[in-house]
Amino acid sequence: MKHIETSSVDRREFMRAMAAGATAAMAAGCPRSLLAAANDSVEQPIARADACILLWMGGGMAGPDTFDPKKYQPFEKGLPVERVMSTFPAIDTVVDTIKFTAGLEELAKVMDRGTLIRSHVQPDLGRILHGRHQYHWHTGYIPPQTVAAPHLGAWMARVLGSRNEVMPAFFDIGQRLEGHGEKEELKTFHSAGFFGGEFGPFMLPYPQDAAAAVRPPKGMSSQRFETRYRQYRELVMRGSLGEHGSSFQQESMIRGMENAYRLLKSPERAAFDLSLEPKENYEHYNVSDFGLGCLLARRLVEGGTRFVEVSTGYIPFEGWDTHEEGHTRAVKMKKSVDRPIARLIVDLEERGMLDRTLVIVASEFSRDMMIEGVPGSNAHDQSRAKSDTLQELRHYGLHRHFTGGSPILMFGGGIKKGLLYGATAEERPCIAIENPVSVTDLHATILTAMGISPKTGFEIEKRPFYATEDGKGMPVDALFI
Amino acid sequence: MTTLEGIEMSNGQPFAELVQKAAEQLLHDHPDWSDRQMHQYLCQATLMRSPTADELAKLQPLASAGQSAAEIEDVLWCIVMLPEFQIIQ
Repeated sequence: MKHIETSSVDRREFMRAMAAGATAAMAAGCPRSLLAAANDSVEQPIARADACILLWMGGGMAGPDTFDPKKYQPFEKGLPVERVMSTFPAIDTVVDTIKFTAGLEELAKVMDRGTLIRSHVQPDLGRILHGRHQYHWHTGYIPPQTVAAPHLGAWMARVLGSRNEVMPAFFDIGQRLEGHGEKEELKTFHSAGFFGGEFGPFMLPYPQDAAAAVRPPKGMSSQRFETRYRQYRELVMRGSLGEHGSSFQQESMIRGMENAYRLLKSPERAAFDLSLEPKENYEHYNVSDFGLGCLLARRLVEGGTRFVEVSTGYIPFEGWDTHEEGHTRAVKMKKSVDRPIARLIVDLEERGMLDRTLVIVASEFSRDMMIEGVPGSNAHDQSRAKSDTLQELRHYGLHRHFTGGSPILMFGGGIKKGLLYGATAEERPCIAIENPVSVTDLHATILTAMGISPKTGFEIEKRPFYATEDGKGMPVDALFI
Repeated sequence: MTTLEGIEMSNGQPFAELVQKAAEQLLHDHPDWSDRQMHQYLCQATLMRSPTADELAKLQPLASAGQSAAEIEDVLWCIVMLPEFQIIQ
């Protein structure tokens, strides 16, 4: 190995050179904080949580078959389908006032640690498409928009940053963006939008492969890897970028490379390696890819990230997207999420992290046996098992998208324990009849818990853009301790 | 650029294999070139300009004991990772 001269450029100097381009960055169209620009008086709330984990039930999880049981109707050949409300019997939870449905026994044991909202409502977007609703849920804005709206996680990455400078602020686990029919729709909101790529998600579609993502290149010694990067930095510093600064895009690229190098060299990358988890605890989560995603999320939060989304993985007509065989499919889905989510809550609690970690379980909408959208909607009937009576098991399940009321679970991060909030009607249509919570207000609640005012705004293309739609989101104060 | 993109550029197998293949090809095609000739060629082929004296001085120590494919690979990686190569102004 040849002698390599020691770099004369230390990290501080390198970063100072990067900052030299800040003026150019502004001129190049970098979004500016409205607070800074207008000296606005928006007061940022005191944070109740330091990190946020969103557990995403991609595809539309049916409330009446999960956390909002209605009258149970077992499968019976020849039965009119309109008689079907819930296809699972109700079970008790540790909270007297809250019932779940069978198959969620582990989560039932931890309900005293969090709040169940039964009255989350979505707008009727007409012809219901998962991509549109998921975009709305994740950004707070109904598509299409004239600017690229940032993901909820990107707001946290942009406004709060990571808790550990080595760790990316925003991870997304379990969602594939290639190889299926709605990949382009999903890409539109798995993004930092106008904030720029630096604040976008670190995508880890397969949690068990996460460790490989942060290893130095195959066959390269760590010394050679370090030398190569040091030489790269020298070349950057000796070029025009180091002397004069440069455009926003150039600066962003260098920061991306610097962040990558720091992570690849850091001890924190052990957080990505699930094989380092004690066997007994690993097995609690090892019931599904989603389960391992929950474990990875806990490790990444321990490592200092700010926001992690773990998805069951939306793929059209798979997972929670039950257009036929709804009951059978829901049995499998509940098995894949029940134990891991319950374990995550207890795991965080045992480590003293739950109070400062906000955990949310959500989906883009609910499902119903009969109604597509909400009553009066012009949405197309998308059941793939249309029948007036139950003739075979594939007819048995909640096969139509329903936006009138759906459940949300929230744990930790200053959220009340053992609370039931809101209600849906017992008879069809099972719309929210008490304390409806819109996506806008739910986001305001989540952001407030994280210490971000729902009125926080940035100027992009000379127009204001807010963390909640038009800055009007109102946190649901009744949910906070 | 996201951290993930930065990581993919730094350790991603497809890109690493491309750079490695290019380095081996260059060494095969020009076994007699000096370090200086190789660095000049790499800069001209990627940045459309000759390296500055400063850049050459920085690259020189890396390859002072003769060329190897791994060394060319590392120099090539450094040059194509420069914003000057990556971003069209």
